[in-house]
Amino acid sequence: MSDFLKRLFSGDSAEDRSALNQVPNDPFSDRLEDNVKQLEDLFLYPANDALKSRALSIPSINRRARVLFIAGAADTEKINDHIIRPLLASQPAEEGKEPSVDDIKDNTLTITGSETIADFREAVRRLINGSTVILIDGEKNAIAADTAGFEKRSVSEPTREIVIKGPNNAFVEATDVNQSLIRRQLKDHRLVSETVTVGKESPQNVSVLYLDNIVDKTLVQNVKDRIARVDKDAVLTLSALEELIEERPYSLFPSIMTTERPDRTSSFLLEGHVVLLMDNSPEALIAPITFWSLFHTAEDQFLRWAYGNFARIMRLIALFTALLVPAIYLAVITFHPEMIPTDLLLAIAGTRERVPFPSLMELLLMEITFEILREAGVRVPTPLGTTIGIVGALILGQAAVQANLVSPLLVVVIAITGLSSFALPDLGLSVMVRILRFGFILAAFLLGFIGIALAFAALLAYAASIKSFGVPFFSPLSPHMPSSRDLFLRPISRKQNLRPQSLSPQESKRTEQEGGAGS
Amino acid sequence: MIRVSDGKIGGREFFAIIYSMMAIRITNSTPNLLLDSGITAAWMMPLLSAAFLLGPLLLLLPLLKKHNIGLVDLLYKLTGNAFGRLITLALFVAIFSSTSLNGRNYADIVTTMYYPETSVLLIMVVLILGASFYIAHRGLEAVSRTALLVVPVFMLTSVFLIISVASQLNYYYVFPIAGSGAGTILKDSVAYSAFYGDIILIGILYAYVRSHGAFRKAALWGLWVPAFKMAVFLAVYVMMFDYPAVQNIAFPYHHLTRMAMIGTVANHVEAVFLALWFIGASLHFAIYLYLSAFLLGKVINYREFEYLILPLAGIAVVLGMIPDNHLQGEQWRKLLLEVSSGLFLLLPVLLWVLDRFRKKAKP
Repeated sequence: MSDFLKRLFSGDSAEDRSALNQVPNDPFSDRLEDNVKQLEDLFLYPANDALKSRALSIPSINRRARVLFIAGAADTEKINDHIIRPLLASQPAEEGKEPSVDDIKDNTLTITGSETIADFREAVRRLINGSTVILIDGEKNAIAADTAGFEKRSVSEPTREIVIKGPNNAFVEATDVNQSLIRRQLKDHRLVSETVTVGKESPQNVSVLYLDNIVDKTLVQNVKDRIARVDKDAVLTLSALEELIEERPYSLFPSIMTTERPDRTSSFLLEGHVVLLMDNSPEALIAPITFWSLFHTAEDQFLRWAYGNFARIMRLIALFTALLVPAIYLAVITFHPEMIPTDLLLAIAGTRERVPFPSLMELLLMEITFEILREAGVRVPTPLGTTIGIVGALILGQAAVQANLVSPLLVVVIAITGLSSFALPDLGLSVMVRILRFGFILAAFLLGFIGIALAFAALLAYAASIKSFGVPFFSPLSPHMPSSRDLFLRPISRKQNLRPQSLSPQESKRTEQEGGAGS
Repeated sequence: MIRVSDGKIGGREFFAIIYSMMAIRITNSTPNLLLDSGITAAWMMPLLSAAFLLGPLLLLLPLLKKHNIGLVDLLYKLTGNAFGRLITLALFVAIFSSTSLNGRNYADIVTTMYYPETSVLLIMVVLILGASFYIAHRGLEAVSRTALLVVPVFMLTSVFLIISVASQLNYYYVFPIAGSGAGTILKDSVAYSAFYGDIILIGILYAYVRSHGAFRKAALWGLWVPAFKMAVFLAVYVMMFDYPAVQNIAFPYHHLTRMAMIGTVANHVEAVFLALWFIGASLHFAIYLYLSAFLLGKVINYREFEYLILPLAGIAVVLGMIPDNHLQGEQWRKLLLEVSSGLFLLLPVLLWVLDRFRKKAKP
């Protein structure tokens, strides 16, 4: 009984269930047949034909050997050219001077990234990651050569973060390609890439990238701790990992973001962020983020000062429009009609006269219709895309007005709002604004401008209070910190003098006085 | 440059807190008290009050630096446990009752000027139990950062408001320059210096501020900037409405926003000012609720004082409903101000004397 309880509460039972841990951690025997048989059993050999093997005899030591690899994971051409051919071509050595396993690995194989391994668990781990394992008769060590050859697509243009001016390559599904894209931008020897694994049943490698001389060390530790705490059998993509390491999964405010642009990733690294890369994910995860990460685009820095800032001002207006305009419309119509110039007020009253619904209903009807239209637009097959436009614009706009369902001014309000939410660069920010808009509509319906003000104050307090990995959401604006002042607007490049080395991570802290002379 | 926050409050955030505590007074019925006694020279009184408080503040700053603890802990250390507790209780009563009375005052303004059919209770509840409680509940760091985000906007709006009424001002209305006479003005400036008593009170947050330099800078700027703003607005009220009419206007700020025009198209923009004013109000009461809870926590030795914010907010709403109308509340406010003025002016002096005395007694 106590044993059962101990197992129940000790929490290491999950550890035992892990697939790789079920592989016996036995060392190799010195009989080739036994080793091969054991590996074939582990890969369920006759039923599962993934494990391929080739028997050969190595002339230099005059012994039999087996070359094993997994079809689809390893590159067979590499195996032929750099493993089997050198092994077969090796010259018979003199008596007593036969090369050891290490000698073969170092001096016979013409492939980089080979290591000697000694147990089955390591052998299985290497094989599923695309390596080739060479077993030699009479040896208790085997050679694992890196021959990974997973299929991948070539680097292409970004699809979500499009710029008119600037580099145009995007991440692909292979980590090594992504890392090379980043290293091509950031030629710095202090760019660290650490590998951690996530997932218990089928572990995946996650690369943690940061610039060692700039990043706050507690931040890196925090990110790694969070990844280590993930308790899942399998984490296949970065998007899944994103939610698992997030601080507030229920919050509307994102605390991590993804980007598909290597240049943006590099500039984040230069600012001291931590970047996560993972196989199978054509994007990089940036942590931590602030409001500015969501608000800025890559192009702001590529365009000239005035053009980039003009775009930013427009985006700021779009942000407030998308968030507040329907609520303000409702508040003005129902609580503060004196704000509208008299002529316009009469015109509105004239068109509203024939609409039977209260303003709130009318507004919600249009808002929900628009959201459905947008959701449908994402899923509609491309050839039908124009149809959605016609349905949306003509039937819902024109006909709804003619049927006296909504007033024409409201259609204008909804159209501007919808357009504005498309101008927001980040998907998370855009969706957040769309959801919050309904809250503001409700607040405006209840208390007009006072309702909007109180809701906005609460929203602002929430946004200001949250932290992403310890970094406040609006920093360095509030709390104020020394920065390159790249916030709502950006200064010219010459003045964005970011000198990370001059910033000690701890600002002049209060020195605790000892005793106090007078007491 | 990304940096992990150290949980302390910087100088700018602290200034923003002080500003949102004090500067908003110009929008409630505080100006009426000053206009009643100062008449056309009312604009001098905030400056004089601030000058009177500068002395105690300058006494307090070195004390805080020397002991490196917050005002409440300093009180306990210098006056002993029992007296310290008593004075802390007095501070709590002063600011909590002003939270409650001011809350009622704001609700009265809204129901009088903007929403005549809404009940006072509803406004009180959504303002104090709703937004202010929520903001205070997010913690001091959140309050300070929110304040820093909105205070620049408030400063700009003030300037904007004055510009938009500038064409309607008559500069000769501020004469006679001495108003009700130098003696009266000096005397009443002292009596009403509790308007800026907050500057002494925020000493209780000393331990949360990043450095002494930041505290000192924020306190000095936080004293003169709101005082200057108040002086400018009092002068504008007199120039706009003229004496004696200005004495009979209940809420001069809100009348002023009604007069504001932007060009010829938008000649009623008071709703915009209403919204901005209410954001400021919710922040103002959030800070007061937080400080009340902090002080009460110290009095009753309750460490998790954040849990006191909700009950205090509820009590503030209930207490605020006691006055029958806003004129009655006004009398109580006046009394409270005069009593707490003495407290804020004398407290630093008391602490300073005790500190000197103890230093001499010890060796």
